[in-house]
This record gives sequence, structure tokens and C-alpha cells, in this order.
Amino acid sequence: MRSLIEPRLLEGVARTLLLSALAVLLWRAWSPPAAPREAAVSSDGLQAALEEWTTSPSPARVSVRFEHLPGADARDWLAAVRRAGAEIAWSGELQPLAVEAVASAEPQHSYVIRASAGDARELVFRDRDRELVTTGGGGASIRTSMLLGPVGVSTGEGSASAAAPVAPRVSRVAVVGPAGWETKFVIAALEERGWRVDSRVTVAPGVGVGSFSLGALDTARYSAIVIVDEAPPVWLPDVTRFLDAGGGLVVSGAAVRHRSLAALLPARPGRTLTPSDTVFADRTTLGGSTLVPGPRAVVLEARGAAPIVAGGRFGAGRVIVSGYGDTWQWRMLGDEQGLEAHRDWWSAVVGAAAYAPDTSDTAISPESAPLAALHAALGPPGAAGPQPTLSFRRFPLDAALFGLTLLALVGETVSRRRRGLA
Amino acid sequence: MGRVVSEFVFCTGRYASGDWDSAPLVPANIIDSVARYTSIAVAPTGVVVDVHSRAVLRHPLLYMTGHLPVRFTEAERRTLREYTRRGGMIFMDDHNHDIGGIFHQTATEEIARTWTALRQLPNTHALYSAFFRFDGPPTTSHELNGWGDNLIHPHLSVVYEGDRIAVLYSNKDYSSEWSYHPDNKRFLAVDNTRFGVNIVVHALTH
Repeated sequence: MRSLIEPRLLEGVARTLLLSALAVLLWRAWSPPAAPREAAVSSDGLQAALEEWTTSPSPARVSVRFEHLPGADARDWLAAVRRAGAEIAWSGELQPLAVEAVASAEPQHSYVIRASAGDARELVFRDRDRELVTTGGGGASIRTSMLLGPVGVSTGEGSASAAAPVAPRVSRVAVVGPAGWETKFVIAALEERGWRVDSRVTVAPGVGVGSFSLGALDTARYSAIVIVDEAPPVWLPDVTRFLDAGGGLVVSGAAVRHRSLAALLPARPGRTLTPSDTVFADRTTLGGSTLVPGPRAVVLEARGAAPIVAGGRFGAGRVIVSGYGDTWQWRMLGDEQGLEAHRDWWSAVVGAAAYAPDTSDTAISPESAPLAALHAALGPPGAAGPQPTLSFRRFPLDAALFGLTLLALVGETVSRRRRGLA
Repeated sequence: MGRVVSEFVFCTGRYASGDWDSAPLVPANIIDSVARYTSIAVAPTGVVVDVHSRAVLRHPLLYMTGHLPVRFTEAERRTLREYTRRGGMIFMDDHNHDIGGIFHQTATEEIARTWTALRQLPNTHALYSAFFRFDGPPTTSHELNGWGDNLIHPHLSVVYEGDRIAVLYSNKDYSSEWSYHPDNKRFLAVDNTRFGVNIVVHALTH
């Protein structure tokens, strides 16, 4: 009995199917794959994924899960993928990290590096060539006299860096006061820290020693004026004009109590502090006056709860009031570090008030706050994407074609054998 | 420890060797002149402080004189070195006004041992115009009185700390010139302690 289906016809159909399936598979192998709809990746696979998405069509939606802060390259690369049309969603419990470096406005400037690192246990500060110091986590601030290149801070989870700050240029400083040890040693401390000092030291009514004259008080020539223990009332208009132009004013010792200066000062005098008569370890044993800060004053130093140094703005300038009296005793009677500490302190106080226009054109680097930069580049974190898995979207069609090829081959072979053919 | 004051306190240094107190009226006379000519807040009486003691650091101008040999102890050397390093100034006067005398020879030797050898102070230095104007160290009536070396000493000598005078040394015998009761200034045509005012003003302003 003859079969209803002609075996030759069946074999022909099977061969056609086989060749067609092979042709489709061959075409699919040679043709570029279609872009996947979604991709998910973690920090470890991000670099390879970025390379793949760059050399082949990007997925329509990417989920990135960060285990640690990405570097600038990866962040910017992701931002480029995003700008190319892919939807980027990122997640991860990343610790905020930020670093800034500033140079003090002093002739022998020092650098202050401040870092904030959330709950990180350890912070490692470094410059281009060396590790500076390792501190505990959270936030920390260090001071160094020398920096080689950019500064960086790193934790176990990431790192941040900031450009080396450009030290502002400062001009001369004027010191006025009565002849006495305090005036002498304020001048000495500033000169020994590199300040060019013009002074006017009153030794008798109408008689002064020094080269400073009030008519020259201008920000073109002076960065700051220091008034020690005395406050000539006739100077007030000139000092006010100097402050309005951005100059700095430091008022120290008994000058804090002069009414003629009260309108300029961010704090008024409080109670009198009696100096220690036994031990002079540092300035905490000095006498003077506590301060009562005004509404816009910033307390810079306090003894217990009592402010003793405060700063504030007047016009475009800055004013610092120091209630300490006879700081020269710190230098002469202090411990081994007293001399250096007295110089450093006075230089820093004057530097904090000094007129020092920032002439640098250094822009803030996004690397100084990498998490903030990540937000800026990719937006806020979205919902966590799927766990990283391989994509097999191409697999079902290829498998079906392969199965069809196999089925056609087996069918044709069986048919031919039944007909007695090899 | 003594009092801590912001006013100027004239301080005489007491050293272990020699006769540190050979001119006891000088402090009162200089204090009188400073109060008389300037507005500097000055204590009415001076103090005497052992130069080996840290108490000397309370007084950044130190007056030392004597006739007899000077030999500092190691503690005195150490303290005086620290004193000038921190900013103090020492005025040391040869009460013998004799460059061949025992005070001069031993004192200059001690100065060289403690700091460095003395150098000549130019007569144009700011010290000579700090308050009154002088063309150099004023001559004393004792320089040609038959005692000492019978020389007019045209310069003072110094040890510098940076560009600041750390030790001012004199063979002029100001200790004799100024050692009288201040009330007797009224008998002088020109107050001969005026250079003492310059030394105090210079120490307080440089």
C-alpha cells in the first residue's frame, strides 16, 4: 500500500526546512545582534559592560548596583551611555565622601585639608607623592605646611581628590599700639612669620615709633590692620573705609573695651579673665576679657562656655576680636612650643581677617565629592535593578531553529533508510 | 613667681658670680626718666631676678652690670640663651669702663660662650633715634676720670638674634653715670639718663 505522503516529497520538505534553518542561523550569526531590552550589572562587571555597550548597541535600560563609589571614568562613561538614550537606574548604599583643601592667607601659608566621610572607619590623607596622615573616620581636618600636587582622601569604599589650592597673595599688615611688650611681640611674631609689618607704636603723646601712617591705609597696600590695646578715636573713619573696601581688622586686648571701636566689632567685652600666675603652658592661661558675641558673630575660640575670640563681617571686610591680653607671656613664659605657637596663632588670626583676593581660576573638581558628582551625572538613585544575570533573549529562537534543523535531518534520514537508501 | 603685669618693669639680673648689685640707684633713675618723658606704663619700682630662674622670662629687658669677674653657671647660660631666643634683650654695662679690666674680659668671654662674639653696633642704628636723637653712644663723665682705660668708647657692642639686638654691651660705664637719686636731675643742665630712655623704648618697640 502506498503511503498517503510521497516519501520523496517528505524528504524534499525536510531538506528545504533544514537548509532554511541553517540559512537563518548563518544569517543570525553574521548579522549584529539586536539590542537587548535590559541589562543589570554590579560594580565588578561595570567596566566590561561599558565596553560591550560601547562596541554594540546599548540596552534600553540599565540597572547598576554600586558596591563602592565609581571612579570618574566609569561615572562619566555611564553618563555618556545615558546621553546616548539608555535609561540608567542606579542603586547602592554609598557613603558620602568629600574633601577640600584651602591655603591660608599668610606669607608662609599652610594648607588645611578637610574631609567628610560618613561612617567610614578610617581616612587616609595623601598628596600626589606621599601619604600625609591616617585619621579616624567620620570627618577630619589636618593642617600641613607643604603640599605636593593634588590632595586626596580615601576610605575602604572610595576616594576623593581636590586640586592643590593656590595660596592667596597678601600685602602688608599695619600694627598700632602703645609701647609695651604686647605690641612689640605682636609685631615680632608677624615679622617672624613673614609678614611685612608697618607699625606705629605710641611712646609719648604725639610721639610714635614706626613707619605706618594712617593716610596709607588702603587695601592696595595693606591686607589688615591690628590694633593692640589702644584705639585712637580719630582713626575710626579711615578704618571704616578700609573695612568697606575689604580690608581686615584685628582688635586685641584692652582695645576691645574702647567705645570708639564698638560699632565695628562683632562682639562686645564680657567679664575680665584673671591670668594664671603659676603655669603658662599655652594661651588658655592668659588673662583678658571674655566676649559677648553679637547676632552675626562667629565664635572662633572659647574658654569653657565663654567666647574669647570672635569674628564677623563689616562691609566687605572681616573683623576679628581677641579678648586675650598680654599674649607675649605665651611666647616668653610658655612651654617649649610657646614661641612657635605664639607666632602661628597671631599669623593665623591676621590671615583670617586679611584682605587677600582669590586670583586662582581653579574650578571645584567633581572628584572632590564623588557621590555628589554621581548624583549630578546620573540623577538620584532609583529602585534597585534586578540582580546581575546573563541575558539569554537570543536563545529561544536559535534553539528552535536548531531543533527544527535536527528534526528535519533525522526525518529525512529515516525516510531515506525506509526506502532502502543510504 | 612674681607678678604678671603688662606694664614695663625694670629688671636687674642677679648672677651667681661677681657684684651684680654694684649700681643700685640705676633702676630708680631710669624708671623716673621713662615716666617723665614717655607715656609708657611703667612700674614705680624695679625687680631683681636670678638670671638662672625662669622668672627672668617675665621681663623682656634685663639690666646687668658689675666690676668683678663674671662666670655664668650652666643654668644661667641656658636660661639667658632661652631668654634671648624668645625675644628678650639684655643690656650689660661694664661698671669699670676698662677694656683691660676683669669685668670686660670675663663678661665678653661669657657672652661669646653663651651666644657669639660681640659685634660693633653702628652709630646709625635705630637705638640712637628710638626716642631722643644721638649720634652714637653718649659719652659719660666717667670715661676720662682717671679710672679705667681712660678711653672714649665710640661704639657699643651687640649680639644679634636675627636682626634684633639680643645683647647690648657697653664699656661706657653708664652704671656709674646713672647711679644717683632721681631728684638730683634738677642739678643737671642736660639729663644724662636720656639714653637710658632710648634703650627702654627700643626694647619695647623692636
